[in-house]
Amino acid sequence: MNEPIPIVRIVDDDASFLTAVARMLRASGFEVKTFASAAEFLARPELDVPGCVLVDLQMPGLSGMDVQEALAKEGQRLPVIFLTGKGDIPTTVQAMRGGAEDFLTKRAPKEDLLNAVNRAIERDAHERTVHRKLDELRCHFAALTPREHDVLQHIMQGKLNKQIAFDLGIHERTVKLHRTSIKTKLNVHTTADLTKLWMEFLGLDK
Amino acid sequence: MVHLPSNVRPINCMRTYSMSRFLSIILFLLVIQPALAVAKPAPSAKEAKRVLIIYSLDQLHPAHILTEQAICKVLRENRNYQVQLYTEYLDMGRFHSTGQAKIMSDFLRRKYAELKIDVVITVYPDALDFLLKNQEHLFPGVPIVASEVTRSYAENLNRSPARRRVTATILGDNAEGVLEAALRARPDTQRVALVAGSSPVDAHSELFLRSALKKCARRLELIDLTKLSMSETLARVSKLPRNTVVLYGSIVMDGAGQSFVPRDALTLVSRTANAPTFGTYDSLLGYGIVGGRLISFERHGKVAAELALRVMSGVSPGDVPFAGDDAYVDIYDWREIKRWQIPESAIPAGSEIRFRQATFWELYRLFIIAAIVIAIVEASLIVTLVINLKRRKQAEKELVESQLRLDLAADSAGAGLWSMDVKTGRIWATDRTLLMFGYAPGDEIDVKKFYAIVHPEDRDRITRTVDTAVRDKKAISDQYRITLPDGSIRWIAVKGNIQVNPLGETVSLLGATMDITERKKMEQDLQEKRIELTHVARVSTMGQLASTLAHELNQPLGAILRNAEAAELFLQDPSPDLDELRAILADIRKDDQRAGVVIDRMRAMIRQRKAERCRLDLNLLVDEVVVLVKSDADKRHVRLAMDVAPSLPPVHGDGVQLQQVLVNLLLNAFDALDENLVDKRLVTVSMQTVGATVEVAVSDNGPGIAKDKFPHFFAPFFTTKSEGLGMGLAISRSIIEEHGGRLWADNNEAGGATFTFSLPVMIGAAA
Repeated sequence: MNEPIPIVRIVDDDASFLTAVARMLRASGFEVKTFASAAEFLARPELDVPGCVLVDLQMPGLSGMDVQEALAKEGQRLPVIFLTGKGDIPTTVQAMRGGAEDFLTKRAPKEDLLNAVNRAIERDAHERTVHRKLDELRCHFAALTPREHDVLQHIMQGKLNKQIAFDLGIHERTVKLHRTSIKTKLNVHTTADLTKLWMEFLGLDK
Repeated sequence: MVHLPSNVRPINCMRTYSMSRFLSIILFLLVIQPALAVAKPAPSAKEAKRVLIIYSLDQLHPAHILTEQAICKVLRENRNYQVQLYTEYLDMGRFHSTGQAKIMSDFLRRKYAELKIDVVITVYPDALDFLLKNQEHLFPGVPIVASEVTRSYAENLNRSPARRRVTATILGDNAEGVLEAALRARPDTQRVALVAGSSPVDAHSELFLRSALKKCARRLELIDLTKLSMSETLARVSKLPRNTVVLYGSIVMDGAGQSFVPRDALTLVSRTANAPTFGTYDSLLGYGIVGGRLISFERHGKVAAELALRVMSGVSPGDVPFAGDDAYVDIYDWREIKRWQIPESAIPAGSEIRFRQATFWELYRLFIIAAIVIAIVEASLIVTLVINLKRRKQAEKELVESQLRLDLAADSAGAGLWSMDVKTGRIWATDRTLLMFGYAPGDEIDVKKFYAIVHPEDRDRITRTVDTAVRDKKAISDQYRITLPDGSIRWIAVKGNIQVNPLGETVSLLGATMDITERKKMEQDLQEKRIELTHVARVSTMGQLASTLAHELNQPLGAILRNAEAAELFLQDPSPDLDELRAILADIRKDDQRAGVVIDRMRAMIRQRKAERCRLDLNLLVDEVVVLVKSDADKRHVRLAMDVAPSLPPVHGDGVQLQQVLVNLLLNAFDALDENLVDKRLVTVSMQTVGATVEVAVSDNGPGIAKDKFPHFFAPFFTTKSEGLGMGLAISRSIIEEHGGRLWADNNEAGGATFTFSLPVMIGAAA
């Protein structure tokens, strides 16, 4: 599958700094988009495009924190890196609690900034992959009939076909048929694979 | 801080009289006291009125003293009202910030919250200004009599809505009376030497005299001696040409910037001058002016009091026309008249002549001495007897009177009287005293019972004070806390004296106590508020400075850094985009300028508060700071010791800034003691003169300064504290260096650190 190129969104009211940091990131090989205010960014965040947000903490009007909150409220997990002129401890703590990817001063070493951006983009890519996989699984599991769901639950409890047949009041051969149908629909061959997929679906694979 | 009325004193003089007799008189008076109290209301059917006098300056201001005497005299002698007088001094000459005005207005509002004031008299325009600015909270609607406002102020008042509740006396603006007096005293005067200083007050007096002189400009030549240094003024007045008189306006500050008390300056000028000196105010009489038709602060006081009486009678202040046009007096100083041989004919009939006593003594000295000698020789025995008898009678009379006054005074001041028998420890006390201590009237108490209610923290001290007083025959003056049966704590002030029998043995302790809880509380509140303010101001200025600097500089610096990095990356390209590189360099230049502007602006901001340099007494300055940090020290169990040289020369500087430095050093010292045991925390402030500098040192007995930290100690943003900003010492050092001094730190040999700053002695201060 062909992934779109990740974009680093930079939000800063200081035009000079905005140009400079965009210039440096572009020269380092990143795709960059600049915004002069939080409002401008939130109006068109283009969340489908992967990447991350680099945002100035202290801005007139909406601040960097506001951007983070607005994204979180939308349920979007685009990584946010904060930039600050001061770097005071209380703000850092609050930002990290809010799930900030990183917190850098405006004059942080280039390597730190590039590392932070790379890390953020990687995390975003990973999250997007995980999400996509979960979506697929959800589709597969949604294809099962209610009776197949019941049978699956019992299989996952480690019961034998005989027990399942007794519990559900159906013939043991019918159980076998359901079992085959489930494996086909979920595209697995062994019960072990089925268990692994089930764990993944429940998010228990980590 | 309790002052018993001064008429308590006669008792002390009576010590030599028979003790038992003395006590019996007291007891007798105590018995008849209730009777007196019942009898009192009959003559005082007069309506009671409360009058509050608010003075603009301080208690010792000469013009205020004259005004006050006159106001008190008129109000006390009036027939219609029983006037209770209250006085307040705003002291605006020295405390004139808006913050002080706020504290004062809060203080007055709370102090007089329970009291209905009928008339307020203000003296000088400042006090009226203060009152009108705070009129919503302070004595709203109470009529005001404003004494001694200028004519232009009165005209403004006339056009203002405030006129409805204010009437005033206008300070005379006619200086010609004095000039006429000078010409009458010296008919052949051809020149007038005008002496005045350089402060605004001085300039006002100068203008005032010049306007009078303008009218005689053709006849008189003007010798301008205004705005000169004192030494030059004195040199000039000592060599004035013939037929000159000196006109003295005022010298609060001379041309060289040195401050003077105007009347002391007058005395200097008058003593040195080779011609008679004239001035315009009655407050100057007796200090070197000859006299004449003078503007009288005393008359103003009298007129203001009369206006107040009219207002009390129900006349609306708005309907009472402004007065004071006639507040002049013809008054002369006899000594000056003699000195300049001014003929009696030059003094208008009906003029008052003061300071004549000396001449009376000169004239009759021989006669008096002769009479005394003869009396001694001829009838020494008889005279002795007669004098003894007389003295005794007089003493008895005075004793009765003074006791009467004492009781009345004690009662009206809310004080309770008591006496303690040294041998038995029994205490006799008035009902008021007993109530104050939580007992019922008539309860019997003794020393043990008394000590039991004294607050445990004060008990040892009070016991010691009493024992020492009894042993060394000393007077007592102290404040302590007591715990009442309901658990509440009251503050009590006590003053007492030892009574001795003819054998010289201490028999009893006699004294007065007063409940000062409310005042203590108010003092404490004020103190806390002041400390809070200082802290807030100190922390916020430094905090703001540090964070604004960081933020404003990081923007352009960050941009420069990113641009430089981008340029480096571009240059790795075999054929770099030169246009882009030029654009980057232009941006770097632009951001560099931006950072420069930030720095310039910061500097301008720091300089904005122009330093106000004046002559400073470091002893006073340190005292004030110690008061500021006292509660902090107490809270942190730090003992503050002072080691002060008795006579320190003054320095020239900005009091507020230097106080900031001292507060900073002291708080740092307190911080350094956090690790010490609670009873081992000592901070010493010492001062001494070293050559042409004064050194102030703040030492602590904490852990001292680590060697590796010494070099960075004064650098900005260096701090050893978790909550510090690291700006205090850097700012302190720059303040001291701006004053031409030095600030440095040492470790003490016995442990702990000492921070010392030196300031140059004020030039010309030694003279």
